Amino acid sequence: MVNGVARSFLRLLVLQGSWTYERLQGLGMAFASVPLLRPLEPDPERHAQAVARATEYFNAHPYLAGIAVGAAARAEREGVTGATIQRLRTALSGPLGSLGDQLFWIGVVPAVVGALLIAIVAGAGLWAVGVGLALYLAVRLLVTQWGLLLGLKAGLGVSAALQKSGLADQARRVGLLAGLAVGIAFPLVTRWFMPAAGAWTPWVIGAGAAGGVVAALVRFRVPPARRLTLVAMAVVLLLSWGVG
Amino acid sequence: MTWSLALALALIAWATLAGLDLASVLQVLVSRPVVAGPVAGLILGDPATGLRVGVALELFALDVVPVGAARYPDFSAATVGAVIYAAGTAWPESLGAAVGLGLVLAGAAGATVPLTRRINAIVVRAYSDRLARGDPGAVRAAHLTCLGNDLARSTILAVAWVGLGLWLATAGVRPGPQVGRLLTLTALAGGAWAVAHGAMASARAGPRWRWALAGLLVGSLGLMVEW
Repeated sequence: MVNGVARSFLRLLVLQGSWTYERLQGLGMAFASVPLLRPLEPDPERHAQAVARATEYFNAHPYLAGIAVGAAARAEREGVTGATIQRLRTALSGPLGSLGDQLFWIGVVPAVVGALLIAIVAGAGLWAVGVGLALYLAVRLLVTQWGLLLGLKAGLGVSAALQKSGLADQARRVGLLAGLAVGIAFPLVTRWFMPAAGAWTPWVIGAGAAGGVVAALVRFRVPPARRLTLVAMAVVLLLSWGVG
Repeated sequence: MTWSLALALALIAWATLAGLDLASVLQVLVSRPVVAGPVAGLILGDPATGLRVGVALELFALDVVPVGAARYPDFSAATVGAVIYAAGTAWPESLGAAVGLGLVLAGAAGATVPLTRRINAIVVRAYSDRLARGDPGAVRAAHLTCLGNDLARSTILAVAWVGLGLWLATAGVRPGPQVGRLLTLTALAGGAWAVAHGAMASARAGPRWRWALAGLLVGSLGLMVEW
């Protein structure tokens, strides 16, 4: 069983390798579930039904998907009906997706990146990158392991266990930290790039930032900064070519 | 800069790893410009350029949230290509062009992600009967084949973007110093736009914008103390 958990944990690290628009993470979830479903092998029919169920449509944040993998595997081993397990997967899919996005993509990642930017412009250079990457990797592995074990322990009671874990509160707090880190990093990065055009640099960067704030607040759709920057660069090149 | 096959292969290997990290393997920060750039710079023997290009492209990446089926740019190999292009040059004159190159390559690379996912769907459909029967061997085979597809995607992009960066650098395709500085200024303004947009878009609903504002004040005070 311990070996099965370890194999499932490793497979969770490549969960999204078979992402498709039809099943989303379904196949990846099955790939991570197979080692946990081994105890069902003496009953081939039940085992086959459990594996087939695991391949169906599923989507969650990749770091938290282990919670659903563990909970569904525990339910399968306890002989819970197929319909109930399908309902469990459906019930977990949305919350694990939005919670993970809030916690990681909009929280931990910008917080760590903001801290990295501060450290780099403060002169820590490549050390900052190495330490930041190692810490983030540790968080990723620990969260994946925690989620898998939580799911396996809680089974059908996973929603209550998840609520009790306080992860939603953590997401809110990390989001605030992310805002703070990116906020601190911004003027420091501006200073770091000052030699690009001397005294003009902060004004140009400030104008760019003001444009970004306005673009986020207005109700109509503004093209992303990537596209606007490329258009502006094309204009600069065309004008300089014309002048030249 | 002295080029060798070993150096090019090391850069391709790094860009491939970074590409895999985007969605398929681990998904830690390896595919982010702030990591992919400095390491590419280290391999090239010019870590300072790697840091500059990585930080500048990271400003744009902070405006991207890679959720579910959303289409997003792939900065991994694109950042490596941009660092190769800028390496060994005076950064105030080359950063803007390198960022522009990185943005173009990241956008093009991003388009390969949905393509790979469509190819994955064909693979999964080929195994659908066995999957419906609950065959664990089919689960393993289909998943590993799809992982192989992303490895192929990442390798092709790594070879293409490293090759392009190398060709542009050695052919000396660069703007003049004055235009180069203008492009750098444009890139920094665009990066600032992206960061501010990303921060505001994710902060609008809650108190996060107040924390961002507090951070902005703390950072600005830090600069005043420094001066």
